[in-house]
Amino acid sequence: MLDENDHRARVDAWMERAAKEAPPERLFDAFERAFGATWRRAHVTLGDVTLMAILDRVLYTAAERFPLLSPLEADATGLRSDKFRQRAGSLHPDQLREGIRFILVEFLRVLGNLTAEVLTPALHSELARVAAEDAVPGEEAES
Amino acid sequence: MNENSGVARVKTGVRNLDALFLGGLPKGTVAVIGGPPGAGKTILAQQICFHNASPETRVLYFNTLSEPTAKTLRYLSQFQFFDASKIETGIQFVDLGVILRTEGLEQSSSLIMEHVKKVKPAIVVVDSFKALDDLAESHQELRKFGYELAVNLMAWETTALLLGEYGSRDIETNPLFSVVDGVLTLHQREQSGEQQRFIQISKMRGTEHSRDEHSFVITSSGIEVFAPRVTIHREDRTERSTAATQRLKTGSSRLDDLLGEGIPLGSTLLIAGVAGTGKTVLGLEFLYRGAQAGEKGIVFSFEETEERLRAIGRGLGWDLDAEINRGMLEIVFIPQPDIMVEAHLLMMRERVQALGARRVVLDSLSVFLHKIKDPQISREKTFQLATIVQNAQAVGFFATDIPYGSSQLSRFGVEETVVDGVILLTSSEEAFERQRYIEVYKLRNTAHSKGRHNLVIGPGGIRIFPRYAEEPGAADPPPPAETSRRSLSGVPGLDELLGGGLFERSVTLVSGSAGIGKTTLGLQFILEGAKRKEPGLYVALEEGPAQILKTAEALGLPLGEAVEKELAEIVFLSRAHVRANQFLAILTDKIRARRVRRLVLDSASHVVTEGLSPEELRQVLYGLAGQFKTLDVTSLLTLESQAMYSTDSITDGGFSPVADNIILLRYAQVQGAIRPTLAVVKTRGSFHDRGTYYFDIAKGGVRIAERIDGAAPTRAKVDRGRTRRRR
Repeated sequence: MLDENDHRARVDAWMERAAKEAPPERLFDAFERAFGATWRRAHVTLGDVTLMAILDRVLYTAAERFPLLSPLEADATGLRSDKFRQRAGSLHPDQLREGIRFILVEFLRVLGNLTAEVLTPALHSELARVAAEDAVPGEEAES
Repeated sequence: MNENSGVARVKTGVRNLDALFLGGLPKGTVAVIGGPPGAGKTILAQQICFHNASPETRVLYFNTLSEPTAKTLRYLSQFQFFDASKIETGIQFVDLGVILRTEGLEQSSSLIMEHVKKVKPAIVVVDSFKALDDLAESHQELRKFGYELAVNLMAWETTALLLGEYGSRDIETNPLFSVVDGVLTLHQREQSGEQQRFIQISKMRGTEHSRDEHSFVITSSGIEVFAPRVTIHREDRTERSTAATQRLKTGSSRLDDLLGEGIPLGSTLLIAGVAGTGKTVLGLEFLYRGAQAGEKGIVFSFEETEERLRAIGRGLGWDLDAEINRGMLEIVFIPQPDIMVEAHLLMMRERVQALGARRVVLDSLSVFLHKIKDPQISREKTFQLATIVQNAQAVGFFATDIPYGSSQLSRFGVEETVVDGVILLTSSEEAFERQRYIEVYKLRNTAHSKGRHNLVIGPGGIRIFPRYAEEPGAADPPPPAETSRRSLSGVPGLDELLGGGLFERSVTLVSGSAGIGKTTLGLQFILEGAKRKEPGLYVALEEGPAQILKTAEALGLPLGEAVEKELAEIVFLSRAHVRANQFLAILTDKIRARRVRRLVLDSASHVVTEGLSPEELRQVLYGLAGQFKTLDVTSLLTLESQAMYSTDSITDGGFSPVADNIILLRYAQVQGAIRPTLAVVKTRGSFHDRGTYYFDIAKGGVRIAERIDGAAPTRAKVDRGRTRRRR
């Protein structure tokens, strides 16, 4: 079983490349792409009922820790963020950064636990792929 | 798959239940606990909950329409696992009754999940889920509801127990059962004449599990599952088996002689016999002798109470009480009506392990298994009992009552195939009394004595009279007479006729009619030995020691002095009390104890008792003769002949081949009177005088006189051997 820190490290790596010091709206866009990629990959194997139940749990726990995330909802297509987007621009970037980090790490952790980490390598790869695509200009050259 | 397969487990806290799942319920399992009302579903679920509940591991218990929460709690408080301090801090009870009645399934599901999100429990119970079933309007709605609830609970990584009065038909038709990970069913039915509860796991994803029915009981401690099929396994002793087999000596009188090199540790023996053959005493003595030798023992008794067993011990002169007090012996009495085979199997294992017992007695296996009708199950239970003994590296004596008149070796006819050995106890009516016998019928990997041996129960316990002819190795011929050394007879003139005396270790038959002088001749033989410091044993079957001493005194034979100096001993064996087949054992003991060099058996004819055929007597005499030689004893056996004068027949019973030497004592008519004569008719391996001689009996005993035909004696050549002086 992977440690929660392994997931956190992968999420931090994504954030470092794709959303470093991005303003809130761009940060949230990057988050949606990253989450969407992992959702789609997991959806192939688990289906929407299971994924919705897992996301529901993750969002519930996230909202307990970060009330600003409470407008986020789960549906059959993944994350519904219409209500949240209306407020995203006014959020403090650090708060948002912590919130979306928590959602991604928790999503990977719960999925990993429930599937005995069978899907984890594929999900980590998706995160890395999205990070590469969204890499902040200048970061690519350095890396 | 095993316990270490990586699947996290939830320990149930129910004795022996986790073993059925190889370590506990897989964490996150959604399982149905089904069964009719009163089967124990709620108690099982509650026991699991209370075992796990803590502020860190929380439990949500949803009551639906079936039973009000207040009632559940009231009943629950009677169990020892109930801990009021865990309520609210560890377990929360939620009543769904109102919501279900008013809002229906969907709202109930939402309410359940709301609580789950809030509490984040490790375990969720819905009692009864079947009540929710009943609210569904269609199979589709039920499947959807069940599936979604199961998925949601799974997403929260909770272990969920859905209780309901589900029957076997539900398992086949209710869609819930295709959704859930596990199905446990509880039920009760009559087995072996009594109502018993059973638990069965028919499905459990993520782990191997037992699929058998296992009995369980509900006590104030909660549920206790008995699963000896799962929990009692023979330990692998491959490594240890390469070492020499360790064996145990019973310490019981003569039993060890029958058992050869001893019983291999880990063996179980059936002690089989009809009632009254001595099974209980044999088992008790096995324990008592072991305790005295520092080996702990335990008896599980189903008929005799502890007090009665102690009394049996006292009656036999054993201090069982002392051994019990110093912790060497335990008596566990389980009244026959209270026997629960599976439960007591596990109890026995624990008691044997806890004591560190090296000896285990079951009295009796037949009573223990008496409620079981299926021979296959009797066999399996016997195997499990034997496994307990084997794993403890103990030795088990399991008494079994054989039906009267049958040729079976055990009560159910299957137990003997499982055990390592069988000791058969029998009895038969002989003369006016019943004689007991013991036979080692089977003992794996051990060269043991064959055949039946007489057994007597009396003060001191069991006494066995082994037929040494049946000992391992007894098929080998006895050692021959020692032709290089001779034992003088002590009868003036006789040794010359014998070619210089009797060969040492030879067997001599002295045949003669009553009163002719056989006893006197025997006494002289013993006294000659005493003179040479060779201990002698005079075995009398007709006259007591006092009479024999008087006879000797009258003849001027110093027998009393020899007895005083312990160079001679007179033993009287009453024909009324000693059976023919006991002679060998008794005399063997005497010879070994006194280091006897010479022996007179007066008379061997009187070994015959009622019920003993001439052929059996011959066997007894052959056994005696062989044993005397084996023990390096020179022996003289007198035989009473019906014939006063005739010498046509050497011995009346056809015993001649037994002897190395035969001396015939007969009367001759001389001038209107009778006069005793003596003829040496056989000396194996030696020259002897073939003439017939008169002999006289006077002060000093028998003395050879002139040859009856007046001829000169044949010159006796002391051709081989020399007279024994002192050993």
